[in-house]
Amino acid sequence: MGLLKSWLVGRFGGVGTGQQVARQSVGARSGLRTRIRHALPYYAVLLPTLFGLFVFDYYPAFLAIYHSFFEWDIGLPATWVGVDNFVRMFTQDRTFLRSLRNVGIITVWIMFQATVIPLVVAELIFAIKSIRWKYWFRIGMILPAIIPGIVVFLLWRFIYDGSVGLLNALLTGIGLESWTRVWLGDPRVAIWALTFSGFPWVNGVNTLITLAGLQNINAEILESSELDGASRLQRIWRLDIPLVFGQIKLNLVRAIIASIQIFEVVFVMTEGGPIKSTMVPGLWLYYNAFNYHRMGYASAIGVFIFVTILLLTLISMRIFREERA
Amino acid sequence: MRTAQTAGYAPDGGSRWHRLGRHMRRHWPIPVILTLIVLMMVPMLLALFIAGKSRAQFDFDPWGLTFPIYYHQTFPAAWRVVSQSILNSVIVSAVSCIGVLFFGSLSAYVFARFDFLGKDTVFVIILSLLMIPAILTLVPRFVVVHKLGLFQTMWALLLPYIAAGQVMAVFLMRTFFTSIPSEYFESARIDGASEFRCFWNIALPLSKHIAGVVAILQVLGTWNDIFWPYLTIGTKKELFTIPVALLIFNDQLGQQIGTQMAGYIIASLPLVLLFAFTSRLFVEGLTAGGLKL
Repeated sequence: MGLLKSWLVGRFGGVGTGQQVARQSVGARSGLRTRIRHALPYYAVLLPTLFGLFVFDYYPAFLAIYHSFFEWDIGLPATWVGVDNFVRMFTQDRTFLRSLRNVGIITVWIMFQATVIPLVVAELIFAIKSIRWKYWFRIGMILPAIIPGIVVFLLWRFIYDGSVGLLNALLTGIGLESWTRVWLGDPRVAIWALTFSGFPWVNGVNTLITLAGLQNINAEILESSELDGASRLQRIWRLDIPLVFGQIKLNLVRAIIASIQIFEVVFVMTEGGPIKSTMVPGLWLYYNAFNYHRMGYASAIGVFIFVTILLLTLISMRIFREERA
Repeated sequence: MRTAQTAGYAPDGGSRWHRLGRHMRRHWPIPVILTLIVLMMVPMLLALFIAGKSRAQFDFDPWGLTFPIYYHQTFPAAWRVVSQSILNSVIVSAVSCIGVLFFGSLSAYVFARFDFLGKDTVFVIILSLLMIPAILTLVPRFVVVHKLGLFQTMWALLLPYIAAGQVMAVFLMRTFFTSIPSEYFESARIDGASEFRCFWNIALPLSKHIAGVVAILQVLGTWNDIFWPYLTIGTKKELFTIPVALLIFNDQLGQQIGTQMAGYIIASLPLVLLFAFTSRLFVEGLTAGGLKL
């Protein structure tokens, strides 16, 4: 019976073992041909996936990198310019340099917002003994996160509005009328207003990821630390943070990936203005491609963003691995 | 009866104030978190508040309570403006979700259960897409879609969404399929089931949970996507998805702020409804503890 089973499994492409038998039984050279023939049906099943990914993802990614070395204005033939696009970015394009500063501000803040605040809120929820409250709080954390981004951005645009906005009304209400301003219309203030929109800056998804880490900590470890007389803060610093570091790191990397290429919120709230003071690289890429039709230059900005994300991700993973050891 | 109750409330005596103090020391995170959640909901509460105001009421007294409340006018007016785009968004999200689940799970099944030439290489190549930011491929993908003649059609949304969504789907579902004991499939094969039936009748029903997570991720991603539909649908109003409609109509509705806010709420409701039925799945998916680096 066992023999019959393994034969069936092998004959009809079962789980590994059958395959190895087949591989051993045929010679090396004819083996390759057999293996190719054997693999074909599987590729037939994978074909829709692979084809779609090729057309809409790999090919565009290749095009982006390829075109970043060309000067290519739509309608004109592309000419090879080497790394000129990248040089121009850092030497002549003041808007791009401004956008780097802005994305730097946003990234630093989002990195903080994605790691430290979720840790604090997760610790607060973790400290609650009642299971029912805990359950509802977890749902309450997620609920704001499923409001469509566009709605949140438009509402914050409204909150910041100079004449009818909530923020100015609140400031007037508590007697700080001199502080009121057109928050998104003042070039010096706009980038800060944009960065700090989304008060109280609690990222529900990240909070739940961190909370999951806390809940997975062995209860005995926490109990023994309590018996040894560790205070709550000592426990958090010495035990909780090292033990949920994997979750914090995940949140950090997700924050880096999202914030370096951020541009939808900027597009909806300020369109990069006033006078390009809130420009970010992602939006500058879009303007170059679709408003100025400088496709080659836009591709170069895209490659720059891609490489930056890659480097920052690798660096942060390396740093934090060593710090932990 | 009475003594038992008192004993239950105050096991070791103490005055009412002492009890309250003890209670606060034990439970102080509850009001803190409650406050936070209310603050997180402020923009939505604001929308709900303003949606009840007519234009005159808003001009006259934007932040006070004003009567009558005009929900019966603002919501129908907003619905007339956004109903078509809600329908479009539902179609796009639903169809792309089904596409991702079907092709993604099929591919994940092949990767999980079989061994063939080049499998690991192809799998790594697919996963490498997780490293490529969407912004890099935005412009060339638009060029591709344009060249394929999909510009200003629903396919310009559906096909790239289905393609891109599969990366995560293949990754998550492959992990799950690998964890199903192979004896299940072997015995089915002995009983004469075809490989497709093994997939359809054994693997898929077992993977409801993870398929739900994939589906939610896909729906959230497509429903909230602002820029891709903004680019590819362009000016074709009858194909607007909800974010595009809100963005474009926002300026037209600017005069009617109550209607505008009602539109925001209508746009959020489908996801809130979906969440009401799947919150458990969603929260458990996030808190199962497997997510870390």
